[in-house]
Amino acid sequence: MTSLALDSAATASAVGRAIAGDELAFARIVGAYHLDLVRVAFVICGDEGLAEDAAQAAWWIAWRKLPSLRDPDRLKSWLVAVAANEARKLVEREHRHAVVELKVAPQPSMGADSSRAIDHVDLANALGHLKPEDRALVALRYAADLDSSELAPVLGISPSGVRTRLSRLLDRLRKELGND
Amino acid sequence: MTEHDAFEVSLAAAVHGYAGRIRSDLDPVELAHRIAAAEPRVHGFVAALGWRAVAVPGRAWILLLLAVLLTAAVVGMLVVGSQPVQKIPAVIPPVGQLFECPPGSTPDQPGPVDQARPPVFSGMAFDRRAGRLVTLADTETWTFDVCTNTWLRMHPTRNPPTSPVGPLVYDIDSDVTIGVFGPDEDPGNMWVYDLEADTWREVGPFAPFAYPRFAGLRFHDPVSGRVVALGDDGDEDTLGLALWSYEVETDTWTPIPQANPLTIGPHYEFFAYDAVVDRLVAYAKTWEAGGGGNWVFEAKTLLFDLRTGTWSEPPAVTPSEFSAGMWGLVPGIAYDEAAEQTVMMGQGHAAAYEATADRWETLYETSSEEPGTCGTRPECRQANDMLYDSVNERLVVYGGSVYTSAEGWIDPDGLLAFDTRAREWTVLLEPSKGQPGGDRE
Repeated sequence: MTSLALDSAATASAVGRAIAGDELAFARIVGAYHLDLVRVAFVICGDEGLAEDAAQAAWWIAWRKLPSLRDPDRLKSWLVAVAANEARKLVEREHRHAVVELKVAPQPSMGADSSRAIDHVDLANALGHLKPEDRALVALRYAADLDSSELAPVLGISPSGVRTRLSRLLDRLRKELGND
Repeated sequence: MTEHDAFEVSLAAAVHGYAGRIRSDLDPVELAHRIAAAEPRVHGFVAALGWRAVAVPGRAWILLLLAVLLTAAVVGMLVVGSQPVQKIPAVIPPVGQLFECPPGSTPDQPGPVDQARPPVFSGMAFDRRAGRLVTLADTETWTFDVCTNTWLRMHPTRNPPTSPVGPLVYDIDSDVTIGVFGPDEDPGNMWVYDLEADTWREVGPFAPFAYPRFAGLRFHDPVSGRVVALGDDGDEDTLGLALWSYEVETDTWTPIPQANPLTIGPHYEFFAYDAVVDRLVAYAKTWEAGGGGNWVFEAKTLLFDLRTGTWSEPPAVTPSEFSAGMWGLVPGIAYDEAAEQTVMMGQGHAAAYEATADRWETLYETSSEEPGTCGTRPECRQANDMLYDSVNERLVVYGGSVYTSAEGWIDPDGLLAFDTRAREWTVLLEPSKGQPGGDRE
């Protein structure tokens, strides 16, 4: 599937109608954000099947909790946070967070600085050494592009706390990925 | 651009590329229809408000708010104010010891490290009449003898088809262990295990929770003789859980009413049943927007009276270390009957709540800001579970993860016991060969 982006007005409209029970409006939201959810979950799970499961589980929660979303502009950050949480729970349940199996073919990523491009296998390995909530932080920051003010409420810490935690995490990843 | 920035840019690109390869064949319309059909909207007052309530004219909105606040205040005075809020007297003595270790037993000596053990940890219960932990791991039934600290794989003629959803609960009255099985998104029937006969039997469906994926069995209620299950009521702002009780003899579920569902805002919660004061103890952590873009967090202790269906909020100063954020590290929680305290433990922190005195006591405050700073000590485990061993009168701690600098996060497969009163650890079973034994102190 491909994502069908929603602008701010369309998002507000779709959220309002979905809250009222319009399943097609909800389908439009699913269509717009499902891939984002799966990809965030994949960074946490390292497994495509689990990632799809986590994303679908998130949609059930989203349907139920959508009326509590006070600001439709925060829809994406809210949805990916729910998916990240589901992915984390699945990982813990599956006892896979210590597993460092490589499931991706070697494929260098296209970084801004090609001399420092991080290989996907190395990345998968490095993620495998992180605890699930740290993987979630990586996923939400770098796969979903949430900033510290968006991450703060879902992490349960202040934006400055997010930045501190992220900085420490980056230091750890840099050592893990041999970039220090 | 600094070195740090360059790495971050490179990492961001790598994560984008790594995740960007993933595709999905999901049909959004089909999924939306399936969800909407399974959970149709309730079109009540609250649903009608939604976030569109901002469209209510200003004066009417203020009047409505005032009316709601006034009503809440009156209800609060009438209901919450009449509830016991501190120094609850002990009313229910703990269930007596039903089993004793045979003479010559060595419950404080670790069991043989090379013994066969369950391949994974999942929900466990403590069978008080047999003195054994009961678990189902990858559809294999195992028991752990707390007198010899040995695992024994059982061989019932049939096992439940999946791992349990949530914890198992031992029903003292019926002398069976009960669990819910089935996929998480649709927990199915319950199964009942008779350890003495080594047989599982399938019984009726799980309680009719509106959202069964968020529900699970929790504890045996010694007053009603029933097993209690908790579930989500669908409102993240209230502590108004859905509660049901189950009687295995008749295979029937009965709802537990709540007279005053609490509205506490977004929160995380943990529960244990305190048999001495006959209350469900809830640890909840709430948050709300504060000044300067920061968030204000508050930890609360709440009590639920199963007999009257009322919640109360005692004034105890509640430790705030647990459950930080949406993916909080989920400490273990269990009621220690010998200590008469509800114990929470994990992430380097541990605290115990004594309901009769309405007091939290700190047991551990170990730095765990960074992995490795806490070490592999027992209190440093994260996402561990606990249950009460009534034979040796201590908690059994199992599962979870610890961080080692050499191997990263690992899941210890050993078992530990914690005596809350003496604050002493006992190794029941060392991790199997190849796992760090820890640096217990």
